[in-house]
Amino acid sequence: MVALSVWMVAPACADVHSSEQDYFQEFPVVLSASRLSQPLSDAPSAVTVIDREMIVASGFRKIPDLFKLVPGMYVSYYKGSQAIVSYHGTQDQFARRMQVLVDGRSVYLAPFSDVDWESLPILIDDIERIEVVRGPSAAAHGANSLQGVINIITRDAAMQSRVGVSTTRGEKGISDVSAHLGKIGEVLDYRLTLGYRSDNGYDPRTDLPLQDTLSNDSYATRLFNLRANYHPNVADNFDVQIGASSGVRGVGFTSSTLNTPHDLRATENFQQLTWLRTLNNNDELRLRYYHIRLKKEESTVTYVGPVPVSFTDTPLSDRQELELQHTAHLGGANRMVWGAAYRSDYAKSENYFLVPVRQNEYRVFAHDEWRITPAWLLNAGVMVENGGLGRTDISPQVALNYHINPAHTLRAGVSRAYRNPAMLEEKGFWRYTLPLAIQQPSGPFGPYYPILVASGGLKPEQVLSREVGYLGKLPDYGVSIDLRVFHDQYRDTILPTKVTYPLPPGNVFDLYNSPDDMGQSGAEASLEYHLTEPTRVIFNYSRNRISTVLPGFQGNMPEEQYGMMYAQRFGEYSFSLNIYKQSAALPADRPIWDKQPKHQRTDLRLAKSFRSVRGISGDMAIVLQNLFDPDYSEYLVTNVFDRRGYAKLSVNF
Amino acid sequence: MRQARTLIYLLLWLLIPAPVSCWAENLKVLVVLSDSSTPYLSFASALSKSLPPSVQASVLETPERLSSSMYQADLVVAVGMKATEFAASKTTIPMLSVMIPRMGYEELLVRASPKTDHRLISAIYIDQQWDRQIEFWRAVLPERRRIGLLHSQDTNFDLEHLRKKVAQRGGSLQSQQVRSSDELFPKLEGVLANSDVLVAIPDSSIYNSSNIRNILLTSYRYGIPLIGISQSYVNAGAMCAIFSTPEQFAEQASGVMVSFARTRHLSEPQYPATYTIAINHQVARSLGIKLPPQETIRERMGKTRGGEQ
Repeated sequence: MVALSVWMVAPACADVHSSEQDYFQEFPVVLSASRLSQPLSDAPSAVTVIDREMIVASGFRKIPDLFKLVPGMYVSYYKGSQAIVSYHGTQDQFARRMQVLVDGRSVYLAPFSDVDWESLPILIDDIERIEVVRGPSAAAHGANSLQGVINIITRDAAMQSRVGVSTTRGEKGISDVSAHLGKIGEVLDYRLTLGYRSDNGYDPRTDLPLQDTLSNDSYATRLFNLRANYHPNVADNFDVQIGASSGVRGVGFTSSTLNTPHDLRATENFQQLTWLRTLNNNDELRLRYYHIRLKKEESTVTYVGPVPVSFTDTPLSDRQELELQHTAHLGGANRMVWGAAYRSDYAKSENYFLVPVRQNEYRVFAHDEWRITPAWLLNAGVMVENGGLGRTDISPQVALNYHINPAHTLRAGVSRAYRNPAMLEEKGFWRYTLPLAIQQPSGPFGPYYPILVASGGLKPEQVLSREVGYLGKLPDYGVSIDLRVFHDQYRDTILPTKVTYPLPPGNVFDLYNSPDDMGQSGAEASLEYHLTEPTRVIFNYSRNRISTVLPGFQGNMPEEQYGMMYAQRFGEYSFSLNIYKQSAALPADRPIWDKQPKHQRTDLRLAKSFRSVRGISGDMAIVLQNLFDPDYSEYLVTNVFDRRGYAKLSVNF
Repeated sequence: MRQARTLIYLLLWLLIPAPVSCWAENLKVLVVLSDSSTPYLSFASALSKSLPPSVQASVLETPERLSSSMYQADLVVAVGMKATEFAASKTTIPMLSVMIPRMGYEELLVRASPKTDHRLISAIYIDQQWDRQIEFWRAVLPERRRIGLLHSQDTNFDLEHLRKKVAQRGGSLQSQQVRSSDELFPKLEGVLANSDVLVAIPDSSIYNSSNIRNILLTSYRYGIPLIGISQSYVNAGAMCAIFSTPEQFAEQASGVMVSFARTRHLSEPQYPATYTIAINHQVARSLGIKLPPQETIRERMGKTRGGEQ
């Protein structure tokens, strides 16, 4: 008991530091259901997470390169600015069988159904983490998740409170500049990125009959993106993103008569609005709209005999999508995500289509995660999709996870997924208009010189995927293990075929669904050692065998791939060594001389960080790529990647 | 409107006939709320349900209107710091302060002038004692011994005392003082890099609605859970929290009042007798943390705290 006197001070004016208000303040929901990633041991598929630490330690400047850190992923470049990223191969110049999402926005676009990585208006530094689903996942990630899903999650608006600038200079014309700024407020956060990225692409071949083949692939891309997050109350969250990029790239080859060296201009912009409403019981309602527009422009002049022929194309691709998703907790052990989406794709091009093409897609999906017992977890999902070609396809997925104990999990799963034919595959009429002087009006195509004439009526490709996986943790040793064996059976693979005409031009391409199946089986392993904070070691291994009679697909994917990342910090210094190794492979659409021999690439990064000196902090890094292997080339034998070094300086105010 | 409501309360109180009591400990209590926001109203409504008929309580939602001449009560129950300040200055009757931080109470005592009239005063703190919090952290995450903590210059607590208590139980405290808002994120990253768990303290210059997004997202990136001090933290994305609800405070206050009615003495200032544990299972799962069931957490805490609920 305390005896106390009466105070004479006016209490309202008293300077009171301590208040119970700290216990009563309301916060907005930050880690909402859709923002949280599913723990790997609960996921229905194998998932590789590339986190910020790995992104930095990789030393990479370009986003597609990051996928070299994923077992079973094939990363290569047709051009310095044209990346090919595919899981388990089967790609040609365009990788079409994977879903790629940036904050939920699907960025593989018509008419080729590929991803123009260089046009994406984001920088590698904008990325918070990447989740790569290894295996089909249509029920959870939408159409086209045939082989796998890349899910890029960019930095939240509330993660940038300072001004940062960085510059990279190096060999081979490497010159990047970027600026980031952001502000965090009570109800509104935003961040802005401005970036410029350029280099001279690949080195020319100097030791072959092809030595005069210069890969014309220098490029420079400017971009910006803005992300704002408005959270006016505890339950509502509005995420607004806009961005645009504009770039000039060298394309064409000195050895080509039609595709002569020239510039391609690409501009892309997007707008995205996501409204997230948190309901009772952590349930959630999400409405998302986005729009992407990608426009390219190129013209080249070639000579047919003495006649100069100029070709111009301005392909345009436009996509809009609206998606509604509801996450509901049905009791403590059952979580269901379901929703519907509408997507409209539009494409036009002087040379690829006779008339502009529009394709509308509808889909409904549901995915349920049911903890039958603490040890058994069942994931079941289905997507029903009408891809706009008069068909309805059903893509189911079932996986059962058994937690032997919290540290060890076994998983078995089976799923089916579809890939709708790309617009060009279904409706393409790819041709060039010849000048009058050399037209063959008597031929079947009149004034046109056709390359591809799609007769249409294609069925979607489908895959039936089966896998067994194991995830283990040995916390005392800081070790985690991810193993997976799989067998994927592909049907109705869409392939080009030559159609021969008696009159010029002779051959044109068409596409058909192959009656032959393709089987892929293999194993993937990831082992990570991360016992103490300063040391991290990751080993990846994948083995992939393709059995098929389909032309070009045998040997299309390196049978074996290895990867290793060793990252070490010593106080303010950090060091990382990355080794990527793969067996020989020949891309499906390339002649034998483009066969990539077995090769190994070693990258090294050294960095020193500066901690707050008068409010300024930053770091300086030196990266050396392909330290040892002088003969390393990618995709085309002429894409020589000599050793290259660059330095990056980043300062934060 | 407020005035009208106050008047109605007052009239109601005046109209209530004095109950026929078999004991002599009939008690008239004036409950002063800091304002009419939800936590205080919940307290008032829970209190009115838990009080025995011998205790007559009237509620005033506007402490500004408090004046000593207006009320004839045996005890004033001040809910929150603002009500406490007013009740302390405007009344002279015995006072029980409820749902106030211990530091606030102690500041109040310091400002008291010794030469004036003496009165009875006591409190039920809103904060959980450090021992209980440390036991909670340990019971929830026994493997995570490195406790990260951010505090500002305004933070009123004995950091070294806490550090010793944590060390006594085999843990270590990684603390950083944040002097300005620019410093928050470098300091946060510094703490996260060397901690297994981040614990929130009542410090609004760090834990406010502007910073909470960044704190939660950054700690999530580091794979480190945040332990909060209210349900709201858990809703926002903290992994768990330990706190007492207004209903629990009402229950405890009612006990103190009944005892006062009998003895006319106020018990010593006390920490919350009962507590609530909130857990965000989704966040725990996403961080790969397997949490024990609530009963196990309470059991573990009870073992070391001598059977306290």
